[in-house]
Amino acid sequence: MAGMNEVNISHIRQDFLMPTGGLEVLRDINIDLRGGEFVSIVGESGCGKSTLLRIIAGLDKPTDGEVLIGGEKVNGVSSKVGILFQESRLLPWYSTEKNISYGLPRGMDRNEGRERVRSLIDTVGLNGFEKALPSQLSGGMQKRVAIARTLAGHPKVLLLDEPFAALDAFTKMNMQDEILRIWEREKITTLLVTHDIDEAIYLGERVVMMSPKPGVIKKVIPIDLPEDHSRTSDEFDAYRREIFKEFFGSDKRMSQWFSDD
Amino acid sequence: MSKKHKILSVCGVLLIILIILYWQIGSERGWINSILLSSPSDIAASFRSLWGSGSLQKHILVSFKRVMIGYVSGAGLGIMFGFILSTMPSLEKLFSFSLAIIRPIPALALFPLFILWFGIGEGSKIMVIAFMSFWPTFLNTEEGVRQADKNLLELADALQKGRVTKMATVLLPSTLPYIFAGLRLAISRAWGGVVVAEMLAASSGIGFLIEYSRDMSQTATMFTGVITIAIIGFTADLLLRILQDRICYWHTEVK
Ligand SMILES: Nc1ncnc2c1ncn2[C@@H]1O[C@H](COP(=O)(O)OP(=O)(O)O)[C@@H](O)[C@H]1O
Ligand SMILES: [Mg+2]
Repeated sequence: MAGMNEVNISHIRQDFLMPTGGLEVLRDINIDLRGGEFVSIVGESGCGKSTLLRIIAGLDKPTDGEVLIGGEKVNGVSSKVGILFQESRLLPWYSTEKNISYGLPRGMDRNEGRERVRSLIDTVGLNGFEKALPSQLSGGMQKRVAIARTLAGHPKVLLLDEPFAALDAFTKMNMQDEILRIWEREKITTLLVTHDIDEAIYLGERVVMMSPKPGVIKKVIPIDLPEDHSRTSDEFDAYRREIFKEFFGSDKRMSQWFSDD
Repeated sequence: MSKKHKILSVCGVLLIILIILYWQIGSERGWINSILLSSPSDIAASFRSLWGSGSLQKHILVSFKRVMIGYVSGAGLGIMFGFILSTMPSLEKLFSFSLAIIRPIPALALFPLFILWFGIGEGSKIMVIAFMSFWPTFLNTEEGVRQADKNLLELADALQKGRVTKMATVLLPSTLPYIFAGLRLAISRAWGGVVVAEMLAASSGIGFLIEYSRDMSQTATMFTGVITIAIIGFTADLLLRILQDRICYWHTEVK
């Protein structure tokens, strides 16, 4: 019997019907996540990362293949899966507090819910902004609200779609550490999608590399970093080089990128 | 508001005062024909006497009642239909042709028929106003539902919100600014409508007052009626705007 929070993605194919004919967006995607594992998917824009997450979340039906969560076939949305969309998607008419409560499971006890929202506000560091509307928050803070809302549902599987792409470098690093802390504490199976190679290495226990047209898995790289995940260590650099070489081939573009860094 | 805007607003008020002043002086000196254009002081006198006798209030009240009943029912139905049709594609398909045929008919063209069906009394006027109030609210509500953020609707789906919750938490709030735009359009149409209807067939109301004073060649009274309409229309819109800012609080926060 599979673990409750194990994810098996097998032979996923997704075609979109376009006026010009069928567009193959995903081809034969296979990924198995152990319960509690953190996997990053990295690939350029348009390679089908969001499409894959939508299928896992049950928002879209794949043309072919299936996704199992805890051994059960995904067939529509379920409370087992929490998805953090690429956009924050906060309700503009709700305060921080209410936006987070919006993610609470249905039929949860009122007091229990209030307590959970309060502790989530603590977790994402939004104390003092409980009553603020989204328009009064910075982009980073809006993202925190969205994260808290997703966690409010107590998902067994967490899907993160480029959660930090729109944030500045400092906020981004803080939030990445926050996500790691939450993941380590709650042991949620997490699938992160990103086009940021450093982010994929820093957060993932494995990095799945995707290439576009059609979206396929190019390579899977297990990441074994020292506890502190230091971004400046030689080990980190070695992974970075490996992934760059895999994506771009030539070392020339790579050295250019490293001097920019 | 910036300093420049403030100065411009003050200038705008000064401009009106200047025009009225010129108007008054021009009337006194005989530059302006008083049969065509009563002087501000004559209009003020007519206003005072009509108000003093209580007849102006009576006319206002009669028109106000007609507008309120017609507007509330017409706009209410507009909002309801807008919501129902735009959220139920099959109903929309079913009714869209009939609605497209009825919509271009000017409400006043139906007035004689309404008189035939609902009598020359209150019924026909209320129906005209309801008809006029229906369209802007209906069309705006529909547009609002159409413009609702698909991402937020999908979020509600992802969080497994039921149909009713989704409506109440996402669809209705995102439609509210559109509904208010429709309500404001409708109230000005309704006011215009009641006046014309009263001119055509009534023995009371502001429209009747204007038409009657034309018969009597009382230019100042005609102006009193027109100015009353302007004041009430302006006030109604202002109230709706205040209500909108209160209810759609998140909209104003953005500014
Ligand atoms: N609903 C859809 N209909 C048609 N094409 C789509 C749809 N959703 C995504 N696509 C196309 O699929 C490809 C992958 O999109 P997406 O999954 O958003 O990529 P990524 O998230 O990796 O940037 C893009 O070419 C996009 O235009
Ligand atoms: Mg994407």
